Amino acid sequence: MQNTRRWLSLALIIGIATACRPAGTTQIQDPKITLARVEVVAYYAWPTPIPTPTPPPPGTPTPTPAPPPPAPDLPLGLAYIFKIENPNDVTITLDQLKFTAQLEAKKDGQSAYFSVHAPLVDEDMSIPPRTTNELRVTFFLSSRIVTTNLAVTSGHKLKEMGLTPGAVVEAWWKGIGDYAFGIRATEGTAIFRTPAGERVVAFEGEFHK
Amino acid sequence: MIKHGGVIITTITILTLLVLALGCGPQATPAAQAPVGEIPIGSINDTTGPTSDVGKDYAAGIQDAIRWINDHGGVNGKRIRLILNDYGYRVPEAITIYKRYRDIDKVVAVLGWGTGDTSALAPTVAKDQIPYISASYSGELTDPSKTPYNFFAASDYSTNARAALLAWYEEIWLKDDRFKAEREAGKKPRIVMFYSFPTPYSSAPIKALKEFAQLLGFEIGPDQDISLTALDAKSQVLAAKEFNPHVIWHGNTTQSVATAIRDAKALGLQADHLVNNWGFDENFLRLLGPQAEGVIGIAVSAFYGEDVPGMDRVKEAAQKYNPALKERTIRTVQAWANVMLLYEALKKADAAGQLNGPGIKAAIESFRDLDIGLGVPPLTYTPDDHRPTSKVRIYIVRNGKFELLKLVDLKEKFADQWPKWKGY
Repeated sequence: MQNTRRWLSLALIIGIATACRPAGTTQIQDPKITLARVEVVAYYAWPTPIPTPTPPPPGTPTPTPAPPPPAPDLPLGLAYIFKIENPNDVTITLDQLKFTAQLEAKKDGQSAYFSVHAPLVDEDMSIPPRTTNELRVTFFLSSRIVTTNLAVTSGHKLKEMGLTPGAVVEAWWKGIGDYAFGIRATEGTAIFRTPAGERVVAFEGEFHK
Repeated sequence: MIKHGGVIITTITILTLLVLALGCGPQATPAAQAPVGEIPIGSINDTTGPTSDVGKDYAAGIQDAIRWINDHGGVNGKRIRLILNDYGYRVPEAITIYKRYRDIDKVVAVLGWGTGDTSALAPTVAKDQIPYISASYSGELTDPSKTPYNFFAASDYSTNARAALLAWYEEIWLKDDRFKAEREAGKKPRIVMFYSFPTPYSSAPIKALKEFAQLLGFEIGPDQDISLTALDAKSQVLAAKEFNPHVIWHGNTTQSVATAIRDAKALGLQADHLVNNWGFDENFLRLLGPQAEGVIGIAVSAFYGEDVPGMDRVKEAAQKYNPALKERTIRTVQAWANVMLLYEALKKADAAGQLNGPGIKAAIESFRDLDIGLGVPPLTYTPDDHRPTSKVRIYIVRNGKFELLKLVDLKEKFADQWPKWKGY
């Protein structure tokens, strides 16, 4: 009788311990990455045009007009905040995350997204089992560089829409405070280290006010 | 009582042991450990600036290749730690990133990008003894007496330009019926060069190209300044039209070259087009469509997906590590070529117990006809000459596809001139 109880106890213990065992290192599910929001972390206002001076009295010699100022080079700091959910019963480590940041340009009912940056995060981040971590990816855009970038990567597409890189950049810098256009993360790839090896997860997301 | 207590103690002990053995507890299983024995390598790329039309895919290729190496045993068992940053084609930013790589990350080598920043950093990397393997193939980086730590795995821009002009001269000017009357009348072929004057990449081969054009008996028209960001090149096309050239050299990157060719066709400029390697790729075909027919250009490696040794791993890695990037191009392959050169050098330097700048440099300079696959000609480097090859593949667009026009070996063809062409 005592022996039976001992064996039953042992079986119970093994049962409990096995149940407590991490959910199989071979059965790793892909983590889920979602774009939670986008924040403006640094903003420098687009310059206001200089008001037209009062016309001089008739007969006054016309002054030589000043040359137009060069396109401003203004920074714009954006932060993409991602939620990274680990659905597994084991800790996994984010090894690298990268994506292409895109902003929407609109004209006469047409709309298209254009790439402005390709941020890459290389710092390791451990995500405990069944936990959702947040990752903030901050980067700065330069209005001049974005204008150039648009010209080389999407110039012809913008032309077809009746837009110029300069006009699009101005609209973005002026409208970002109101989130007047869509913001996207595309071509996203995150690489995780897990007990079952490396996992590569593709993701994308869109943010509107 | 004692007996009962013994059972409890035994039970607790077994339970504890089982729990420990089977790992029941908070934070159950640690994540995979960060690798040890890493080799830090820096990479400076343009993914947002005026060469991002070709730079983004190149940067992805660098990442793919390094990941692939790490997943296949690393460098004699050591993993490479890649630190990659975008510099937006701004030289001061490249210098700042380089200093960080050197002083904080302690890299043993750098994978660089543009001609401006590579040239600006050349004296510094020589002083620091850090090998710098760039995507700039500028001829001025090939003379080790001036730039001892600069390398790349491709034919240099000047060699490319000479080879393209020679191919056009031999295959088109001397053979094509369009030019029969002018040839028989003793007329000279005429060339005009379209490139961005202030951009070091674009202007790098111009001196060499002009000298070579004169050698072949060309008349050279006025150069036309077209920016890398050009969306309109009509005024330059009209200026060139006055000279009535037979052929135009395009020295910019893809988008700008496509703009110039489109405007040339629109304004009736009847000339053939020769394109340097960073303006000639799969996107070029997409941008120009049928207008790309007949355009001649340079490819320093196989195009993405071509059936050549090593392409399987390029495609496999692209799919595995960057599944979200759908349209890959020759730029990915070029990145792989530079990484494979570095990989071979790292393995050799490590085996010799010299995994440092001078050791990597010595390893590269020991390579003779190194075959890295990927459609790249065999690579040779010596302590006196960093021109990797004299062989250049010249392609022509036919039926919407790249077709090999000629494989030019400049060293073989111009054995007397070849030594003099080093370094520019």
